[in-house]
Amino acid sequence: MIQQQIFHMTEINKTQFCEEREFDFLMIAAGSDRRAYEILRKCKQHEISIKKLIVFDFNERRKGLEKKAIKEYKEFESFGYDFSLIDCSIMDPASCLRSQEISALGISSTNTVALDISCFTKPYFFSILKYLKEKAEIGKMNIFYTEPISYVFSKGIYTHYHSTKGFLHYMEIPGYPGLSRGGTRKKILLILLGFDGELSAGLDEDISPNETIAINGFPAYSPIFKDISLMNNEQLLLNIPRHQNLKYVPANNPFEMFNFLEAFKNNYPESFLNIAPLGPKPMALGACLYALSDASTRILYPFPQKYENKISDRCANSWSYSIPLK
Amino acid sequence: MKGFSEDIEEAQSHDSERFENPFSEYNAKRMSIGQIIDYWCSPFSILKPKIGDEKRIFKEKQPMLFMGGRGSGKTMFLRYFSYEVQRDMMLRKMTNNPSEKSIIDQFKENGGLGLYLTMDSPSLETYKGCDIPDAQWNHIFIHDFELHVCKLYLDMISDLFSRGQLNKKFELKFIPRFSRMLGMKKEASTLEEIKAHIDEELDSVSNYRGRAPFSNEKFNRDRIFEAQYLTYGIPELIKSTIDEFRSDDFNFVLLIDEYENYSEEKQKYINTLIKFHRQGISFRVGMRLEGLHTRATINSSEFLKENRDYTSYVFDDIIDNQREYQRLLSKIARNRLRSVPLFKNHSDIVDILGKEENLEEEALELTKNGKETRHFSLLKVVPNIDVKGTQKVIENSKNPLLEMMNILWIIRGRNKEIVKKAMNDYLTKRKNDLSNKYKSDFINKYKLSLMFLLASQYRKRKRYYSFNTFSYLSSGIIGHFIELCRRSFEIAYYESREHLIIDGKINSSLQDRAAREMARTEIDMIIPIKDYGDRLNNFTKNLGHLFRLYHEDYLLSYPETNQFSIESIPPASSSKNIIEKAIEWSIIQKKSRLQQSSIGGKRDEVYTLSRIYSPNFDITYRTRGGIIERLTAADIEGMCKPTWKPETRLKKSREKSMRKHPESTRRGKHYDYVKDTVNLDHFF
Repeated sequence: MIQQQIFHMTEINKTQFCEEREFDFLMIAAGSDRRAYEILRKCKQHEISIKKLIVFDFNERRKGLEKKAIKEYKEFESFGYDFSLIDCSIMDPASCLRSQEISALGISSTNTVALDISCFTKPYFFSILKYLKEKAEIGKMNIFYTEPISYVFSKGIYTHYHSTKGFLHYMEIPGYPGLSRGGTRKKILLILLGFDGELSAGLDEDISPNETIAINGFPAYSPIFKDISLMNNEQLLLNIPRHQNLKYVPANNPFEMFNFLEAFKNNYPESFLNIAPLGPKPMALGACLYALSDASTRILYPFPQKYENKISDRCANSWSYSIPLK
Repeated sequence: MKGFSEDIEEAQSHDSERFENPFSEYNAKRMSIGQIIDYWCSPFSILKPKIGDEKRIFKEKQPMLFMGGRGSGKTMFLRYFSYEVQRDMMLRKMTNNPSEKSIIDQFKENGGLGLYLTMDSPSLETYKGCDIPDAQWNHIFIHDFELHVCKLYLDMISDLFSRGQLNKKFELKFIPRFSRMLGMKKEASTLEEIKAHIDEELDSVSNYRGRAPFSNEKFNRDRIFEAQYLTYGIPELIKSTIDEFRSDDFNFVLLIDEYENYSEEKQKYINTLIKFHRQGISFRVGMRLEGLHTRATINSSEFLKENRDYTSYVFDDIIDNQREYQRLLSKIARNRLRSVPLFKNHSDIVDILGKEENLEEEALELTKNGKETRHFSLLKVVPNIDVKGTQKVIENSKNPLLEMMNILWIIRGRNKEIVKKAMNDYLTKRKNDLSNKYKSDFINKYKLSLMFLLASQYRKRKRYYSFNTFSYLSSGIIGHFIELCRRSFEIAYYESREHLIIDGKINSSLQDRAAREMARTEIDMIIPIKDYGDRLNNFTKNLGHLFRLYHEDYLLSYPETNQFSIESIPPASSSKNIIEKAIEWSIIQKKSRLQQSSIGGKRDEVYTLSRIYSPNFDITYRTRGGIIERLTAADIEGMCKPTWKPETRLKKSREKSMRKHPESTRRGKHYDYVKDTVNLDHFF
């Protein structure tokens, strides 16, 4: 079980980076967002050594990019780090992690590893962390995350935010099936609220748990975000019978999320916890760390036909989370 | 030291006083056992074919398939017959009457007991991929399914035992034989040991599913259960070792819910169980319409045959008997209202919502008590008419709907004096052919359509309110009715609290808002439907707009049109898939009987657009006879595209003239469906 005392969270800025000065591997997701390579810019600025940069190259993102966006997408090549490109599909994290390309890298428990989750989809980074823990047996690692300044609201901030396109398929994230014990345990669904209200309402409907807990990010990156998420998730919140089932956890601190889940589980030890990390990535990271420590917890996520290409805007703060996996 | 989250929680606890909406819980999967019992209303009197009494669910050997849309009450139905719910009902009886029979005797009297099984779609989806052959995944699924069933039996036996309902001696025979059946290395001596073993086995499957994406290991257990081994083996073991269940007539009934979540391959396996069910075990299976993906079994030459292997019941068809359906809804609402102290004195939903809409009152309100007369401008379509003069003759400011009726007759070529006489005779109840025709047209044929037309003249929307309207809007899906009530109560509590709590009433505009919000939400829920969302969304909207055009026709040539039939479409075509998906998701509903698609036309399958969407398109909430749109495969394909134009189709398909009054267009588009002159004689 991860001990809540041993986390460390550092803001990365002009004057400070995390304690580690060199990494054997840094994993990033390729993208045309400014956020995709913000950590690389900061690594360069702080003269951090990266022996191998592992770039997850998503077919779906690369296709159809315009000339300017292609240049932005390929910016990782310009930092001078030795890199390996991993060809992968957003829809199928498991196949990528089973590939020869990944095993040929030889990531093992003796390596210092970091992962920048800023531009990975949540199922991907959940699966990568599971892989690093179970397969590569990594004991401790660094996670980087760059906050966006804002998100892209194509038709206004309330009710029109969509991070996905087309039909949704609610599935277990590979590696996180939990232990349902034949469906006889009380099923509780904890939804980390994002801005896309259709996702939460649809998931709640599809899973129909005995009880649903909505968790909103507060304080949020920006004061208005906590209100947007409540407004956009109105349909879900109307269906939650008890007012007490709406909880608040800070949006940028995975460890608060972890502690919340641990305390929650202690109150419901015999329940089958299902977590849907639809909200901010640091909260999702907290849920992931918790699920890695408690295999009885299931992680659910809507797998869409397609993700929107651009959902966030510019870069705000960057963070380094030092996390134990064992 | 308290954490941030705890501080927030403490602050929240002070805000715990909250309105308890009697209709807040409509998902039966979430309900507690107590809620299932309290809210249960038997649908037996209206289910077809007739089931008889509740005990038949336990006693009947023939498997039963219960189909219905989301929210139609399948889960409530299956859970009601589950062991836990029946047991608690028996305990309540025993509390109320100490001389009541013991639980086990009551189960014996029922003739059986039910075990409720549900597996959700996310977990069912994971028995595939990871470079593992499908055949191997099928074995793992079957093993897991058998364990799920085993766990249900075990929990039931364990519960009965802990309540002193089973003779202690049963352990001597049952436990050792059960241990052997499960292949336990060390023979168990208690039920707890067996339960721990089953949990371990279930966990091993889950853990394997968790590891499979990242490893190449094989699923490896001491014993992998084959199909039927435990599903049939355990009831046989129970009957042979537990005296209380020894009777040949006692049935164990597996209540399998959400069958549509099982893939074709998985259904084949369960279909085999259903087809070849053994004595002492039967199946009741709940699923969406079109949720039976295959009738095949694992034996390639054997298929499930309706009526021979199972009987099917469609929950949505209960709306065919509107009176009984309304009685059921009223009872369901009463049980819920009585469970909330705030509504103890107002437990009649008919009273709260109003029995029926009052169209005359609504029309008066719309025309500001008859002060506004914009609707008379419709008369301008009649060539050379003196609008003011005609208005003076046919007006009736106390009843704008009668004025609309008069306008319709004038447009259709009647003389204004005759129209006036018809109205007066009707109002003074003077019986003659003219007044009879007037009454028949007004009351039986056009009143509601005239209300829609009147509202469109004022660029306003006709309201959806009253118990009767809500029952129609719900389209036979009880969950829709409960949701309409929930939304109405929620809005009324915050906007008209005293009227709700003290008077026990919800006004029509608030009900209307609830109905419109729900219609919008239901439309929004179409997009995420797997594979078909976009096309179904376009199809639904285009169909709704097509019907809307019929409602805007000032000649009311085809009043309240909202049905369609389908010309033969190829079995494996995309249009066929669209229709099947639309039925599965209750977007459209197939009428239970064949119907003529036009007067003198051949009898055919007829479909209705679910009336829950009606407020979104401002169309009727009920289904009348009349004209039925006949769609071809090409029409359906076209309607799945956003560019499809309903106006174009009307030009092609309608024999009678349909016109939209230029001044009535809400969207500012002016169109005529037929360019020729209105043939006034055509309508009489």
